[in-house]
Amino acid sequence: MIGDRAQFQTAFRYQLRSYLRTWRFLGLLIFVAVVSGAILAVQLHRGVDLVTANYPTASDYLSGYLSVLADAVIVIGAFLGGDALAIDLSGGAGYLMLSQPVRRRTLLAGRYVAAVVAGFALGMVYYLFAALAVQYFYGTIPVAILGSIGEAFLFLLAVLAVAFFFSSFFRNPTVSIVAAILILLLGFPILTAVGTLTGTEPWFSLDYGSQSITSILATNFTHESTTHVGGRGGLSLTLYAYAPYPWEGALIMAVYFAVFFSLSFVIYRFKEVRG
Amino acid sequence: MPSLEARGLTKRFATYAALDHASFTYEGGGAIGYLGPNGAGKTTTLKLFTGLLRPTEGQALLNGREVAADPKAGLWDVGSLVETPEPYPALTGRETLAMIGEFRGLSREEIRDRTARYARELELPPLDLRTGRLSKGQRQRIVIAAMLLSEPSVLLLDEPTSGLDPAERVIIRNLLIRLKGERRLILMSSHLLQEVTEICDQVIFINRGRILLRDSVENIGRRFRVTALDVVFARPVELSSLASIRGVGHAEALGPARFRLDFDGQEESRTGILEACQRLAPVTSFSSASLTLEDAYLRLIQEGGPAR
Repeated sequence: MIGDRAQFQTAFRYQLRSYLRTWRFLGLLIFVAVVSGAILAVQLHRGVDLVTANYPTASDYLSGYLSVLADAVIVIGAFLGGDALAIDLSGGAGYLMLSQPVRRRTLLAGRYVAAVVAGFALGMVYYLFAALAVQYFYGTIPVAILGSIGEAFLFLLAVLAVAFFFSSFFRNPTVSIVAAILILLLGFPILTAVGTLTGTEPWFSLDYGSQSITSILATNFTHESTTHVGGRGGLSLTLYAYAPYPWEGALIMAVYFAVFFSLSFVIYRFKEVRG
Repeated sequence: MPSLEARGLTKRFATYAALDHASFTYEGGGAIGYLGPNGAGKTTTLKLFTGLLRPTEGQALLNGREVAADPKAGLWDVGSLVETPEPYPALTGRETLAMIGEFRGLSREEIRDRTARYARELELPPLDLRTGRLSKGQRQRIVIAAMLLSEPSVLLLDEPTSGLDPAERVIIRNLLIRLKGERRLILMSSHLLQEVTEICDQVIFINRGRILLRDSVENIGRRFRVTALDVVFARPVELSSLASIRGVGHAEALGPARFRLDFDGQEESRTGILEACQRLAPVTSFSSASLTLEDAYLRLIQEGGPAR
């Protein structure tokens, strides 16, 4: 009997091939290129002087440039991972694949790694534009960009784990993708906002953890700050702002990855194909 | 030696028992027809044998290995076609076959040679087209080729000719007959009694999740032998003259010159009835009334036979 490792490689190879062939991958590639290219185009239009006046250092500039990367990673992760398992559980392909002598954990692992590779390649397109921009405006590329790439990679792992979780949970691939996008793009930011408004550091939110992608680049990093608004007889409000330490963000994302990947593994392992 | 065993196999969905303590064992080569009406539990049984469902009670064993406990080992030497399997639309037919072959540990040469062989035998569509662009029947033939690629000793088939056109059905039927001759063990569900009769040696009747009868096709044929004849005359004939023929129990007019005659099923009676009909008017057609699966099945229920 052939070993799990060889079957993992097969699952990985054909899943990656499927990704690269679909319009979805091309669409995501265009999406990433348009978003990052648009930012670059706007800043080129503003000119070097204005850009460097707003961002005193190359790292600060990069931090600003990457501020929408987390949202792009969410879209990438949801579309790559959202139907990776649900396509089997909805019948059709599952009747072919899940009746093969392959452990489901092997299939899941192969597909997950393929999604990571495809997603990372798309994310690197964004970083390529960012690197070109910072080189153009500041004549240098900060080394800290590597730390940001590391944090973004961890975020991709976590986002894909969440997407795979929904994919193992729902039998309908479209529902799975939509659920992943809603939770990642709306659910977690709401969690973060609630924590921020109540003066609680939102360490429980994946969205908060993802902020380490940019906070690792900030030259004047502040973990916690408060702002008082109003007063003098009127209503006063205290606003709290938190930014995760790089290690803290990495830990939050790693925990999300571990929990949701394990959950998706358990659900996919025992899920029945009822059709 | 290939083997297939259900030990008190049960599947409940909430309180509904889709399969209720089914038990049977088959060893060695041969083909078993798995018959019953829609919702009888045929597909549920096959899904339990292929790990697509998990049993509520009991065990499904293939080649002595329990599928639920270790699906990889249990399904290693098993090919299956349950419900309507679909290849991944982004892959070509050739890639689909290669992927399944690789999962089953075949070498590149084996995959290439066997792909070429089944492309001829199953008249597969162009293999470099993505399967998403193929017709349903073409995709099904690719899935059947994928099932056969590793030459498994046990085949589990859920209405394998469903959705195929008549020419495709003939291809699959001939293939199954050849495979049976190669000492493979085949369990196939079907609604088509004629197909089962041509391919299978053994039959299992199931209804409402319970096995009603297991026997050889030969014995089933004797038990449900045809006891009606359809006669067509060259010109109209009086019904009363047919009813009075010796050996005819009941005569029914299907048209002015077309009748159905019940008799005792014996060959001598059949010969005598034919001679008597020919004396009444020229006979243009004289054949056994077709016995549908539903007829046989209803008769089995009426007999109320215990599960065996």
